[in-house]
Amino acid sequence: MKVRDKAFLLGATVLSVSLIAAAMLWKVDSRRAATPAPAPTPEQAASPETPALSRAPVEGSEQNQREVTLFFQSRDGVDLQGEKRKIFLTDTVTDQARQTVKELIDGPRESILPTIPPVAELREVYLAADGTAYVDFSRGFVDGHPGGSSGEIDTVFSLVDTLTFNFPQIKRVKILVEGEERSTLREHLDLTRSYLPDMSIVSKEGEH
Amino acid sequence: MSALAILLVALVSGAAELGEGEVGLRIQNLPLATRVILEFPARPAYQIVRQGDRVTLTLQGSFRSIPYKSKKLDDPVLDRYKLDRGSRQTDLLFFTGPEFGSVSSFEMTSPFRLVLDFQRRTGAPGPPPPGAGSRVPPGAEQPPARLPEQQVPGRTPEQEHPSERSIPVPTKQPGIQVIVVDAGHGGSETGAKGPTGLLEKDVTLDVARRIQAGLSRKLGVNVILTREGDKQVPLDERTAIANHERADLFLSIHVNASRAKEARGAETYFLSYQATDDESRALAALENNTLGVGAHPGNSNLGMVLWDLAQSQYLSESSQLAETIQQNLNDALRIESRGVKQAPFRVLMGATMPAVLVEIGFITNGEEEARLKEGVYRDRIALAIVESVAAFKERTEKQLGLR
Repeated sequence: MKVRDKAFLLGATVLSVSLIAAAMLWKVDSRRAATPAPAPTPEQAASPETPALSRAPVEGSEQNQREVTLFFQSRDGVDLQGEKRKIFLTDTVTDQARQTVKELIDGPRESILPTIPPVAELREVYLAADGTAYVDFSRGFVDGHPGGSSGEIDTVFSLVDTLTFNFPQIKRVKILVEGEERSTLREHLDLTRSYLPDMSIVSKEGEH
Repeated sequence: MSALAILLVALVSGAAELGEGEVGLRIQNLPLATRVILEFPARPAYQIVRQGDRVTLTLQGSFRSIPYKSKKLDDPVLDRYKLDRGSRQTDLLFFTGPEFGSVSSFEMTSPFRLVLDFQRRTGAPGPPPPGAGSRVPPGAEQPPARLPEQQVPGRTPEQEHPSERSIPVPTKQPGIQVIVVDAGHGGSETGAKGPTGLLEKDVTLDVARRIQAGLSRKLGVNVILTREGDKQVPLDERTAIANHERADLFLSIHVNASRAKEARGAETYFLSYQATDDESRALAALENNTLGVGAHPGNSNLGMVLWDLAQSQYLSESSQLAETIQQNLNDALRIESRGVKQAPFRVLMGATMPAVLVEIGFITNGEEEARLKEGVYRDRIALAIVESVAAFKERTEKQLGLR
């Protein structure tokens, strides 16, 4: 094969790969746009944020991404450990929070442990003007949970610490399941209240 | 924010009989207290302040009380009440009588109720005790008479007491005489599960029974279990049983779980209380004395502002009991101590007595699951807890001058 042919083949490969990537990104974006936006509550209308309109992430651009720290369960079950992740720098905090919670559900990449049952689905995140993030999960959040005092504390504070650590606009978190308030997760932690962060259960290596 | 909260609560509570801005007000005369039950369409922001012979419940928002705006009660504990309705804030003023001692409060949900107990001053003559007036002995045939307000969803109105007056409640003896032991989970709420299939609900019931036997034998106290068999008992009902029995201690027995298979060891919890912004503001205002409250430093028994958690008055005793139990468990089991911790556990919230939750080990850890299957090991756990209660009882009764 001649050098010129090789260059042509390489060029064609690069072109087709980028075409596929662009198509995939377009598909992700159109799926997001197809999700109906929740009816804005008076609080959301009053909040300084603009309504959730996700900006299309530009392909391959580092500028349109930001780093977040997710707090997962340590292997010995003693504390939470941080793991860095990139999310798209979309226009609203609510949308960035949504991406972050989805990353939490997807679980850690390093050899630490998940905190939210993988069968859980994120239904919605609402951010009220007073800084309370309402995070609404599907039933899987409860049904897939192993229970136990420690297990519940790890789950709730993994979520609360992650959201409050990465988004200064989020001061506290209230968990909903299928759009409704629940008395407890699995008969331990009270879920009728909103939670402030507790960084005391995060290992020091995680706090950077 | 509050509008969203109301929206969410309304969504959960379903059909509310009360209209917005209405508060249902009922009075119950208990032997040692006058109980005011306030029912709301949704949880309001509120604050309770005692000022001399007056207790003021301040509600955020405009409310009217159903059926009466004000009422003279002719009760030596609570003389009368009066509602002052504003456009943004409503004050419910309670004028106490000569036999009033202290006030405490707790919340009930579905529908949301705020319960204020105006306790009779100790030493006050009080009404003649209904019936024999003595505590129901253990194993007595008489079913415990639950207070209507301590009933939780699942009970039909027909089972409730038709009369709101003269509900028989056993009179209180000083010291630690009645202990409620709560076996965690039950019925379809199996709790956590071990790698070979051991269920938390079975371990907790068996250990609770062993603790009951040990406490009865060693201390001669009345021990009541929140469940006798494998049945589902709502959390609020477990606490309500302890409150109704006027228990002196509440012990909730659980087995822990973690995704970390290595996690092992015992933990003892008491309630943590994270104040809401409203409460923090109220506390700050109180500390600056801007609420016009006469300062009574050291009156920790009452607290000038009463938070929405009954358990908040017992945190210090609960913490002492938790420390003792944790120490004894560590010594007896020679397992890794994960220490005394605090968390907002629902089952501890409404308890009007020192209350702890003990996680006796990790069912998710293979080795600990195997040990938890052994009767001998369960006996060691039960004994450690019984000895802790004995030490706590002795200490408390010495402080009360009973020993």
